[in-house]
Amino acid sequence: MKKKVLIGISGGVDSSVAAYILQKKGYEVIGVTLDLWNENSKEENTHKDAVSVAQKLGIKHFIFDYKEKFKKDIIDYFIKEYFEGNTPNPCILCNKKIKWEILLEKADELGCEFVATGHYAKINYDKTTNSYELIKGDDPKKDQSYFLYKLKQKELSRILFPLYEIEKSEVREIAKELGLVTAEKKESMEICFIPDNDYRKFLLENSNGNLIKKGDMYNLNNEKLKKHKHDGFPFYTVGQRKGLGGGFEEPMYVAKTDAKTNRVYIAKRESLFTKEVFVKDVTWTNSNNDKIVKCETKIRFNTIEKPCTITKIDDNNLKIIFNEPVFAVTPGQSAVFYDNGKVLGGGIIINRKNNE
Amino acid sequence: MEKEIYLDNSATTKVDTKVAEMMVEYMTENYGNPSSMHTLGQKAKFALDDAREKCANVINANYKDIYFTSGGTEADNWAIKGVVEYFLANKKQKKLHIITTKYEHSAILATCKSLQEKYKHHDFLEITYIAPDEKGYISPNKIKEAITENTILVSVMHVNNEIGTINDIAEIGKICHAKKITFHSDCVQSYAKLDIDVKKLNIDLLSASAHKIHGPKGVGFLYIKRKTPIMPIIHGGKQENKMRMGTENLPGIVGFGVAAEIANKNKDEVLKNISLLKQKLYSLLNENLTHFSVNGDLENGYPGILNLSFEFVEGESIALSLDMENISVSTGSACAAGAVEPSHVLLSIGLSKEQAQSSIRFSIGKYNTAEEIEYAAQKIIETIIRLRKLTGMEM
Repeated sequence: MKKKVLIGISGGVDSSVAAYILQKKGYEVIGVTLDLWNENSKEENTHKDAVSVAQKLGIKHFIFDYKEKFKKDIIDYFIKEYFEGNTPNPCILCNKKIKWEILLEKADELGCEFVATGHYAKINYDKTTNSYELIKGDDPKKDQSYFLYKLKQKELSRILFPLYEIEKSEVREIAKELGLVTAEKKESMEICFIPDNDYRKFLLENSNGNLIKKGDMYNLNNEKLKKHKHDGFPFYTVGQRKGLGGGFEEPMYVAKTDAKTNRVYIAKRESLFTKEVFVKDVTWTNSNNDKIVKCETKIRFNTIEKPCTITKIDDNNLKIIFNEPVFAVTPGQSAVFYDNGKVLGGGIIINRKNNE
Repeated sequence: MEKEIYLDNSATTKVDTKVAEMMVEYMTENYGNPSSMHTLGQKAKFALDDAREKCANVINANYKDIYFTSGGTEADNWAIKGVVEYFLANKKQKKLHIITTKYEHSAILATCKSLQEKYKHHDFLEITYIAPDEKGYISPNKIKEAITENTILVSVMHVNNEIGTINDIAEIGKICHAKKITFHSDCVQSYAKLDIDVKKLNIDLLSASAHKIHGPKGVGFLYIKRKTPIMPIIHGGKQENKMRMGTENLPGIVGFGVAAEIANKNKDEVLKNISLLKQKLYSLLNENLTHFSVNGDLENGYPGILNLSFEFVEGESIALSLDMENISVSTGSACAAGAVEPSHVLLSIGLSKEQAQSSIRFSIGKYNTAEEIEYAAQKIIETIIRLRKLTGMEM
């Protein structure tokens, strides 16, 4: 009997082609689309593209409505984090709390051994240690391992990333060849529930009772800058240069924000470099990884991981000391630990001063 | 793909080939508009009334009292709104009272809710929703007790679409008739399946739908007894005796007529067959599984419907797993997977939210065979055992 794999199909090119590859490899493929968000939250999404892909491939396909859970676990979290002065990464949380959790649960229900998505990363089985390794994709521009660091052995042992095996150009080729409706679709880069990418507008419209007030800017010596005002601390992210207004002798950057006092601290670029980074909610792809001391850490997507030393504080918290200072460490973003391309684990960056 | 086993005949049915052939004829050859005076139009007009007669015969109605609609939902909407509009327009009484049940199809419940919403600032519309007993029966006595001097309409379904309970509409009809209250019955699940005689049963308004009896989707009718206080809710030309305007869906209506005739002719035989299949399905499950219960009345319910609650598993998981085996069944009622709201029908007969969410409806139709039922039973048993293992409940 064919092995069954449950694949998350969004309607985009990547997941469509991933489903096709699995089918070619002889799996019985079952498609699942999670209905997570709609501007009018009561409305059902048709997921026409996903349905069309499934029809084209001739696979079974189910749509599950998780809009309420997504609102509660992801969107509300996103808003709450911003109003606590952090810069959250909702995709990482969604991968863990929504995508993998639901896919695996549904896979069990439907008797599927494997689950798959159109993510670009690699999973290796290491015979000597009898464990699974999450590996960076070869092409750094496409690599999505950063978003997947919360996966553990239990999940990794059942996940397939079929896209890893082919070139990106091939993905579109296959999609075109298949006549998939998604072949010409642009890749989505923004946060799915902020389709216009304007997170300021989103926060204004979805403040969940929090107030956004204009406030004062400070320098790192706690001195109020008389000429400079800001529009409300949630609108500012560490490392941000744009939108601070003019009148500075040299370029200034957001160094930190304070939710309690509605202050935005700004500083020169060199003041934003630091070696020490504190991390909470730490998870490991393999429980043995927590013994690692030397590794490389990526503090945001689209950057290169940098060598560092990590020191455990307790089971959930640790401290990273980079060999060289890193720029604009942003609370709320994830720090992901790598060892030679292998994802060890990661956690969420915190502002030490607020959490001591 | 392997053969499909379709056990969702209460949701919809496969169109009978004879029906489909007739429909094609009325799309490609006799495509006239029944309102046209030329020959093609007159042919269409004849076919329209012929279908009307076929549909009427099933319930011993006068063919002129059948008004075709776009389906059961429109017929239900019309019955409720049309009667309310009539009383509003004629200003016969200051307060209007409607009696219906808690487990009607949403076509009735949502219509009632929309009227309550529409008139919430005027204190003249009151609606009483009678609860069924735990087997799903609406007590005629409760209807009787709920009647007030303002009651203008009683609407009680014949066969419940989720649990298959058959209501004593004869008794309810008698009560309404004695009090001169209009009686509507949603007979979408029983039309041309069970014996219905509108005269004997004192039914004033009756809703039916074609696609539940191997006819096409998008066509139904409302039977309106002569002199029933009701107004049209869709306006336009002169069709349907100026009661339901708009060019008739002739292919659909012709198909409905053929489907009704076939279903009526084979009614007893089909009923006997599906009774045997239901018994077979139930006994196979009962021999191999424990911890499940029947929703509705196993012995006296409509034999085409078997609604079961399986402890420790979700109905949705069962339905999806069976779909993987190409067996089509449904959970409480057709709703989006994932956001499973417990069925209002199951809650109304006293099930807990969990019990309601662990329910599955098997609905058997004339095309199902004993082999299919045996195969499906085997797969159901395997599925339940597998899903219970997942939750750590092996039994």
